[in-house]
Amino acid sequence: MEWKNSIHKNTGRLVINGLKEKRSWFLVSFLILFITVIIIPIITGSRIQEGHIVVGMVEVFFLVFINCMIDFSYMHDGRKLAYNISKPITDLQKINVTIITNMVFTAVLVAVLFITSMFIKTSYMDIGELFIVTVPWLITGIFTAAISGVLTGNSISGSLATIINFTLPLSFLAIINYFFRIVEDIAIGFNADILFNTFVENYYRIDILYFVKYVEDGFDFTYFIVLAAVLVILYGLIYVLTKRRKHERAGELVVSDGYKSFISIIIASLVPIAFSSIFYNVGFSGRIITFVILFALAYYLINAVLEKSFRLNRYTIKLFAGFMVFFALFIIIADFATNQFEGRLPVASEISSVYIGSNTWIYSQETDESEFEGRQIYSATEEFMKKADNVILYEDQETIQAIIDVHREIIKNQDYYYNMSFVIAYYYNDGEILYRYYNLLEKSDYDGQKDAFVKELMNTSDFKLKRMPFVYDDNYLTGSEKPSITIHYEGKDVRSIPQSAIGKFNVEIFRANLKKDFDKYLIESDTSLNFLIQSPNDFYFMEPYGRYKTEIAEPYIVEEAYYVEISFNEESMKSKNYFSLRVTEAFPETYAYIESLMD
Amino acid sequence: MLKVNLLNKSFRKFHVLKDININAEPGQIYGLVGSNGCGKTTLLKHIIQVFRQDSGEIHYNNNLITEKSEEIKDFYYVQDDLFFPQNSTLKSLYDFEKLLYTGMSLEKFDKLVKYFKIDINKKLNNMSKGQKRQAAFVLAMSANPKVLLLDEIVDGLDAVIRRKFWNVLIKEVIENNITVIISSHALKELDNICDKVGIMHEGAIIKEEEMESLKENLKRVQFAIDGEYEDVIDESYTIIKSIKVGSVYFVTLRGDVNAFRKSLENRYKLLIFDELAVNLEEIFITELGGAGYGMEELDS
Repeated sequence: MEWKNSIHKNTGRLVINGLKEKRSWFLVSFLILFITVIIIPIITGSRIQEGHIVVGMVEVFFLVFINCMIDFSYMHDGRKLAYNISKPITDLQKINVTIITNMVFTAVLVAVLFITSMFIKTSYMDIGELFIVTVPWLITGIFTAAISGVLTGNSISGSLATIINFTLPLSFLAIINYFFRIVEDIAIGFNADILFNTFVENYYRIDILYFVKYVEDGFDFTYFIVLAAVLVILYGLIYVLTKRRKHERAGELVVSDGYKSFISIIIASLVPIAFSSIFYNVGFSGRIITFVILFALAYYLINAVLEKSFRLNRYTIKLFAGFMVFFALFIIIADFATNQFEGRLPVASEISSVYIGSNTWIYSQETDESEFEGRQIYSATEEFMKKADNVILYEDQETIQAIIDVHREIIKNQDYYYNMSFVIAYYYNDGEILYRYYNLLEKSDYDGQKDAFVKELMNTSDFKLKRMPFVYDDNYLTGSEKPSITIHYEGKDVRSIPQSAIGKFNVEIFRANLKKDFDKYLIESDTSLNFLIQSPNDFYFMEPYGRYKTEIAEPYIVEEAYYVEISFNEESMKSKNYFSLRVTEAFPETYAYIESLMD
Repeated sequence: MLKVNLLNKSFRKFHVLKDININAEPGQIYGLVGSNGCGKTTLLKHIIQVFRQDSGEIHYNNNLITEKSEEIKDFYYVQDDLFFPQNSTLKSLYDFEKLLYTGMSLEKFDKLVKYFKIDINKKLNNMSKGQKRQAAFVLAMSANPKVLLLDEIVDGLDAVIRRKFWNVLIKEVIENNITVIISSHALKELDNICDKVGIMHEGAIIKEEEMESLKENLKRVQFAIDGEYEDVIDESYTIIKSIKVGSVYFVTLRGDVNAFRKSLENRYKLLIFDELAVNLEEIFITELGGAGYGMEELDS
């Protein structure tokens, strides 16, 4: 009965009446669209392109927004309110009529834009995707404007509230991300990005909520289910809030005390987050202190504005105290909850494969049939990792155990020669994945223990073959055609590389010299961990560096290096068809070989 | 019958309506009078369901009035601070309100437009304050409401138009037996048309009575005596106020005037004694004075 009452018996005629009142708006809107989407491209001599349709859609958003603000403004002025509400139409019926009127207005503008878009030839963008995302935004935007109109008592605050409410899921995301950063600070091995990605991909599907998924993953019938669900929720809110609205508070910035509290907490939380890029390196305690101070300041100012008074009332102070208690509890609970996981190490026999490295962006394919795509490592399956060309998955049990041993050492302390960060991902036999992320910090008294654990691993043939197949896999070049070679010199003087040197260049001799250099480096290097975590593709751009380089290359004033680029036929070499090496005197054998080519 | 029962409302910490009780009969013009800021408009907005009460009930013909009730569709409210939608004319507003009020009568609308000489195609927001009030009144009457709530409807109108207003209103009440609640400070005019009066002060109804009964209860006399008059306590009457202008005393009292006259005759040589007509303004001042309103002395 209640729902039946929410529709006035003359709704259709009231909507038509509302649309008649919008005659001027229709004219202005058509004129704006006609000029910007059709006339300007004609005048400038270019045909109508996707960009003009996008501009038109932005204008539609603006026009609908303005219209909603005007139409819902009757709730924000005592005179208008008394006139409208005193009529034999309930608050909800009035809101329904306003929503429907604006939906029709929006539909007409979108239809005009859509028809215009049908006359253009798309070159790089499916124009339909624009409508897939923006049409539900427009519809939900109208509902959001209605909610904001009910919650506020002033048209300017109503406009701001519409924007705030529409982007509320994104604000939540920012706050959640910030809280994950705090967890990252508290818990060793935890990474905010991993937590965030897991949360967003499994629980908080913001891509579905904003319909972006249907552009990225394709359109299907769930689109309509999601749209219907979102509208039902929004309408439910309109229904509840309308029944509770205190019309006598029209004229105040916000008429709902609950919303006032809610919004002041949300905005006050966003302020320190907005400033977090300035205070990014303040550490855990610094992060907490800045959050509390900036939150308190923002909270005070927001409430001073909302209450139009510099003196906060008791409830506002209580709410602040309550939030601070919640914040403190969050830190304590997060610390307690993560403590038990910080020291967790897998048993080697349960692990199918393990990845350790600084590279977290994986370019691969899920199956042989799927397309290549880039993903965060936290979203990648073991299969996806295995098919990646810039990832080494260690599957040998001894290697896995060696990595677990290094991991154990890292848990004990997070010091190193210099700052660096990397991920360890264990892929269990049962499909579970354990991610750990570490930031090692530069410490002058680092004892080299981590590198000692890694060195043994680095000198196994399994590691060498996987890590540097170009150097250590003698079959790697089998079937390859003669590569294209280029060499450049960088150093104290300008040296041109004679063509004869290129002609004399022999890949096999080059490899043999590299092998000698790397054999020596892998034994002598005391920055093995650093070498381990680098992407295998980095090898082709790498040179021994760190302490090792310093030891063997000193004194160096201006570094001399040869850049060697080797390009193989792509078919024969699959994806690894291009190598670029910077060969310095730190690679003595290889360096000497290239020097010998210059004679 | 429109009945407001123990209605209470607080705006935050301010208790603006306190246990309000009102009883307005069909065919009755109910005058809602009171001090400035006493809550008259707030009460009317509660009756029309613009505001929601914290407690208490409003009934019409024994049916509870809520925002959704059928009966509220026969209520019409004309607010003090008039509002008309942008670019609206009386004609367009009539067409709009026709969609909301089932009893809207074009015949009555045309008749009243002619009577008040209003240009129905002129933008309402370009009209003078008085013209706007006439337009609002025409719409209200055209809707054929059973309960008409008028807030300061004659404020700013000239005497001729005011007379026209009252003529239309009284005719409507007589012919259609509607209930009118009218809030106004024009007490002299209400005096002539109201059947019942509710006097409000500081959010409460301090007196609600039929006009005739009010006037019967409250008496005003003027007299002159040989000597200086002093109030005495008597069971038959109660002196509310006495002032002396020249050698003539004016006394407002409740109770038996003859007993008061006899009391004077017993104590003094009575030179003149006349009973004066009591008007609403006098009643209003007397009642609010009893509540301590306007009793302050300038010097103090």
